[in-house]
Amino acid sequence: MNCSTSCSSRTQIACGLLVLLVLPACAATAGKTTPGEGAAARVGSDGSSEIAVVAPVDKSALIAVLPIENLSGGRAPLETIRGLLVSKLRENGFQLLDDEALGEFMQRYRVRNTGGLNAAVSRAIHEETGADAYLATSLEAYRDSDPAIVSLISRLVQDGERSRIVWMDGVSLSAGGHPGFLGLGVVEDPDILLDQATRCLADSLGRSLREAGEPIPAALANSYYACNPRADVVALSSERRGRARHRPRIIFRSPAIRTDRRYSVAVIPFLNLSHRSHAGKITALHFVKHLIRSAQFTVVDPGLLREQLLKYRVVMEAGPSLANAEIISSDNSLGVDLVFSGTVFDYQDAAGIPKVEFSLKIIEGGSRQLVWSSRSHNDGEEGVVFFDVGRIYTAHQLASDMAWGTVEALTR
Amino acid sequence: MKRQHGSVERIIASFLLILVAGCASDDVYFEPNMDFGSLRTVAVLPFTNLTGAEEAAERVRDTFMGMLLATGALYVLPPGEVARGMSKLGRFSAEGPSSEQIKQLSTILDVEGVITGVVREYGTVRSGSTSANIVSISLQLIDVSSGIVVWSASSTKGGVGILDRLIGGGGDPMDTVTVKAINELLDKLFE
Repeated sequence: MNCSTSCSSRTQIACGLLVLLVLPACAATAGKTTPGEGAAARVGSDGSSEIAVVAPVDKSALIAVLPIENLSGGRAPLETIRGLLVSKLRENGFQLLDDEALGEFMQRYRVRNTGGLNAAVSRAIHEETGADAYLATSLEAYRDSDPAIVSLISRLVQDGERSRIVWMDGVSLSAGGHPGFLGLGVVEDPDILLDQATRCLADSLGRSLREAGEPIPAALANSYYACNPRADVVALSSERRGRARHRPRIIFRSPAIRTDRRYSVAVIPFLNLSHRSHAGKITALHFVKHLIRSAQFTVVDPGLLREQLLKYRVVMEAGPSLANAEIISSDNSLGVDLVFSGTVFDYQDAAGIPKVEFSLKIIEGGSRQLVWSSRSHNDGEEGVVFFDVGRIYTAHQLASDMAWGTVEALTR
Repeated sequence: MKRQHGSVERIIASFLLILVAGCASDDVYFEPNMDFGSLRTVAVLPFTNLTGAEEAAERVRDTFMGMLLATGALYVLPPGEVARGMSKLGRFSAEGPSSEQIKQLSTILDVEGVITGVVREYGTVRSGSTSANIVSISLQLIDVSSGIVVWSASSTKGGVGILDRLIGGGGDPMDTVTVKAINELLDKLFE
């Protein structure tokens, strides 16, 4: 229950009048900003620092765009989405491995899991096709009506001897996400959403490579979605703050976790106790997305982790045991310091208000100790003040905010 | 007239006394000879779910484990490790383990205490046109060296209160009610 559903009409009229009074004041303030005042002006006014992130691959790199991994739990036009993504990447000037060569390679190596490549295949794709990196894209949610929703998570992995995630971003668009005045902004056609979503991802990747190395205000890190400027290349900074309501409600933090050292981490797909299929894998991807932006963590690519879990036949019915964590963190396996795992209790994105509930547990492989435990639960209407302002329309955005809030709490 | 007043007061006082006595519940048990300071590591076994809500026991257990860890007083084994220990024992009943099973499990997991629990109620209760969330949990702490229950407590939070009846609103969210109930249990454990 919140204001958007419970406000009386009288309250809504009062809210509307308040907005009418506030908006002109805002407009007057905005009018004072000249086009010449850019990021530097904002830095000067709020005294925030600047960040420069250098991308390890440039735009001339040859990229293999893997078929889309379907985590939506239903049927989806995967070929169409991939085709759109390829065309948007080409428009951005990327060099892509042609489909025929990629198809032959995948057939030769019997690649079925398109959510990531294991070490041998990653090396082979580099040696045999000349691809410098591969793009793994997961379709998190797809619905073509009532309302239409498209959520994608994509990552660019530098292949070769040791796979490394060099970029990762997600986008989620809902037909009713920006209804605007009298609902004129509602998008009914799912194809338009697909077009916008793939464009967002391609633009995000393009910006991260094109503008790599250029200093930007750290405060801009607060806007991090694919369609927002420069957010994709920004590491976590002291200025970057998520919404307080998306931080975990319960936290245990061991003194063993230090903020002055860099950790290599593996994020195991979360145990899924929700009714939404693939929710565990999706939540893990959200964590990877935010962890790679933190200067404190080096994240092992999920493709490499999957290979190790299969190799050692690790079965985790209730999350990883201390022995599992030790295996994953051993030098013979991934050699990571921390193993992230957790449980998803709720991941509601089918209809109505999105709701996400998960817990995160971090085990230090070397000491075999649980060093972090947190629990987060939120819904999409918590931030609504009046009407639908502040509402989160998709579980993707909510889960991403919550993962961000958890990583933020972890790094401070 | 004055005398009549006095008797009314006495009746009201007696009524209140009976009411307060009825509300008071002494549902905490402590083994008097147990040194609780010796407990450092505990394993929380999967809770028994007596409710119709699927996964209620896992939700409550997860919240309890996180909150117990957050107190900093005890180290709680991760659930995956507990599951490993239980599967190693083969036929192990988390709902009612025997003393022998508890001892065997503690040897595998290297813990000093084992906590078992029952989720008795988890969901929405309705009273007239008003509904609210309710959770009812009972926990037991078993000392692995002796195999006996050294602490037991229960807590019920939520439900339809007077304010809910008067102004409606549906009560607190389920997670908030769960946290309140577990907070009360932790207070009872560390009192």
